[in-house]
Amino acid sequence: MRTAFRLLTICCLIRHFSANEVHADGGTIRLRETRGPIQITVFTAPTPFRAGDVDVSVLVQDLQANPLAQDAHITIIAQPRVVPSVPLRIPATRAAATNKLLQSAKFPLREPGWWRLDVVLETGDSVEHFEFDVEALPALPRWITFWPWFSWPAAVIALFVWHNRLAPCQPAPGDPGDTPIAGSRLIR
Amino acid sequence: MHPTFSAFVRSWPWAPWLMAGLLMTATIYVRGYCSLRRRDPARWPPSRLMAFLAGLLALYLALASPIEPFASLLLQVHMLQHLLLMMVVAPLIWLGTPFLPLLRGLPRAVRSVWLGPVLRSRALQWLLTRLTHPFVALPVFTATTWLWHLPSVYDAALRWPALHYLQHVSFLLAALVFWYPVVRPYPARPRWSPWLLLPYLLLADIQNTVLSALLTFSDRVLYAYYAAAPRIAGLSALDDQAAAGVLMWVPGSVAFLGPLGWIGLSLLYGTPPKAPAQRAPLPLLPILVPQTSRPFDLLTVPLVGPILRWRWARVTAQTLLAVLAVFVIYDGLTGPRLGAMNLAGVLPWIHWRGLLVFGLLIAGNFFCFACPFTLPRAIARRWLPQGREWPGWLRNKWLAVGLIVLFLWSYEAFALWDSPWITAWITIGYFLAAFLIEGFFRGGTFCKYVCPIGQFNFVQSLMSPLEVRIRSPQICAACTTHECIRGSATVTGCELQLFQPRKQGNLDCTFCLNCVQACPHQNVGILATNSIAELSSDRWRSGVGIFSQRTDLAALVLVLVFGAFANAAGMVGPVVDWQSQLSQLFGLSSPVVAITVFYLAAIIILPWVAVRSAVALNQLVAPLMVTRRELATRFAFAFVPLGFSMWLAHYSFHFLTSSETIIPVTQRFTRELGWHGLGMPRWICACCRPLTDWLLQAELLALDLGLLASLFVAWQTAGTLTTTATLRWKLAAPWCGVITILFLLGVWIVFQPMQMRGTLPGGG
Repeated sequence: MRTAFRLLTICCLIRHFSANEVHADGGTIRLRETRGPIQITVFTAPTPFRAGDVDVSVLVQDLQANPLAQDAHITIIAQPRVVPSVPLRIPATRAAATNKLLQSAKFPLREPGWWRLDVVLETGDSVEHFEFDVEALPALPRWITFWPWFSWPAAVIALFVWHNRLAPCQPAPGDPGDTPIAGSRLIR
Repeated sequence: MHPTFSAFVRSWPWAPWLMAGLLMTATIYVRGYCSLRRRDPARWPPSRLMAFLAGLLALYLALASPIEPFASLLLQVHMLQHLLLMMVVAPLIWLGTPFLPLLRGLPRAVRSVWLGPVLRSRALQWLLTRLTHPFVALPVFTATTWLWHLPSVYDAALRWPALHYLQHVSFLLAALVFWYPVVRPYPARPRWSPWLLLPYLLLADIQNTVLSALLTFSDRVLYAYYAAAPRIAGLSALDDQAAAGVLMWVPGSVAFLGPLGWIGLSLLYGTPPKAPAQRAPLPLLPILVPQTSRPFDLLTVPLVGPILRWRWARVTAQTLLAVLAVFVIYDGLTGPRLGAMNLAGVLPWIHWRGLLVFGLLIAGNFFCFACPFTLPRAIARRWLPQGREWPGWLRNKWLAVGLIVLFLWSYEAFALWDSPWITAWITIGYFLAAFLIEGFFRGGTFCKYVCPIGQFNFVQSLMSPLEVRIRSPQICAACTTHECIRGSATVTGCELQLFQPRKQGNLDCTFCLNCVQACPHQNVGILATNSIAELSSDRWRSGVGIFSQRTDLAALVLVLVFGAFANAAGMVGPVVDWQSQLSQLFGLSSPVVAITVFYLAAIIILPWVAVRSAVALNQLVAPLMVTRRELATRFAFAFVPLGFSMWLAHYSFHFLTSSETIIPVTQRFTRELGWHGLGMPRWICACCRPLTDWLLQAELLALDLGLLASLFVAWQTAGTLTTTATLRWKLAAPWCGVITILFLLGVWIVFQPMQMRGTLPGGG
């Protein structure tokens, strides 16, 4: 029973842990800067940063490290650094963040390489730009990030084989048509 | 409220799988606990139940409460999370004495057939006994704690999510190992002296004190991650670290020293275990006769049961769907040509199919119950010379197999999902065919031998959890009138000639519930069934016969299984590209030829080759005393679960990503009918939702379960054909190989970019 319970717990945990939705709550800190009366910290996820679905989260605080009383309007502008193209503009909102101290923007990053991210912060009348560069590695195939979701049956099959060694196979019970007595149909 | 605290209380992560897992665990435990408590209330006080549920709640709070997102910003919150896992969750779970309740709460078959041999394994028992011995458990716990608190390892765990997850899992497992000897949950009977627990807990407290003192009194920030993290509420990184150390120190010491004091006092001054002395005398524990629990019966469920038993329930449901069918026909013939803007493009191809598979998954064949096409049957039988016999050579499923192949091919070849006009005519044709066939021939001929939708429902409902079945065989044995098949004065009998006492499974059952209405003994219910176990059985079934004699049924199953994969593959990028390339190669302007080649290969040639190969391999390993045809038909039913899982993954994908399309389409349709109450069409809703991770996970989970069920059925089927274990594996192996290849194909399909059919790109 210990095994069963632990297995159940582990399965549940694996289910939870392998959820690979990008969220920057605890991602890599890319920028910390104080400008005027505000401090800003920018996180990115996933770690390592890759093309595909990404998350850029912004923490805006006052000088005493308290969150601002009113949400700042934040827009993330992402553009490839080498070959500029039409930039991506995504608003960062508190609704999109798991950690409600942060404002997050989730968006698909089209291609790997160096990207310039511009965090545009609007508080009252002032507009501040915080720019930084970040290298995005090539996106992993989705199946790599989801491998536990389709490979766990292998563990169940292994357990089944082990179980079968412990309890040698018996004919399916309770079905007269299936018992060996229907002998003329048996393979011996 | 302080803004930081306000943000904290609102930061709840979304963890549906964890919640589902914990709810499932709790359900199993409560079920088993209630059963055990009924027998021996003294041994199973409510405190055990409370402790176990509190342990699960603590686990949820540790992993899916605001603690989780804030743990990456504050070390003290992270410490709180680890303390919950190691000091709260583990002992509470053991205090709930989970072994027997969890075991008891599982279905009997799982308990006795599956878990029993595993738990009786000597190797496993030896391992667990050693692992939970204090001499092993303490080093494991200490090593785990210290290893993960090394600065480099801790920082790495914070930067790499996978490592972080491993950290939590190892903390929880180490804590379970550590607290087991302390709690010694029933029925554990350790052979070592309980005095050993005193130095055990003392040493655990000492190592905890040393580690927490290091954190508390360190004059530098030990973890670079937190040194770089933004400060929250004005708390410096060093203060945060000290607070984390104190948190580890004080509650940690309480967790170790509290039990130490309690156990020490019990050993010094306690009385021998009081349970045997105070237990009730033996007569109060009578030997109970094993109870055969009655299976779940949908007809006994309040509200649902009376509605289903209501005489006009089916006609009402059919009328509702018939009205929708009329709307589909009208809009299909007169509305916009674009499928995503027309009821005929949205209702049948997104909603009806999605709800159909969900209905089959959670209940049974209720769409045949509500089938609108057979509604005019009574009129047809009155107007037309009903009473002819369906030709003998057509009394099988071959016609339906042909129609299904034709439908699957034409669905792609003529893009039916995007052609409201053709959809409308198919619907009209369906009504006409049902009307004429039922009007000329008797005995539910259309449903049994012709209707492709019905055949789909019959085969997929083999996986449904509910079945129309008799409640008591004794009552049927005493019955001489057999109203269930002959009918009564007011209700006709089974329209497909299924005799309830000998009916097995859902095949050919339309859930018309005539038998329920007609039975004068109220002996027919909609009962829970173990559908997977039935697939390997070759017993005679009323109205169906013996599976191994029904090549047509096996062909139907294989076409529907391989059709599931072909139908889903037809919408993924690589297959569409391949079809285009094939068309270009032969200079064809239309993709119809390429589609025809694809479907011919996928649903006719491929299953034929796969089955022939598997049978040939079977013949290689053993001399056969069954014909090749019987072998193939028996094993064909092993594919049913995997085929159903593919249909489920495919149709649920469309339904869950595109279900909102119905909103603007209904708005447009009602406006065109002259009713403006629903407002202007909101075409933004007709844009499909992106494929979320949880949907992909759900699709994969469906395929996983389908794979396991199919493999199990193949193994069970092999077991009915041989008496030796080795031969059983050899017989099952080729079929399991084909099933696994199909599963991998299904996994590949769900990872491919898919056409979002029935939606408007960019919201129109």
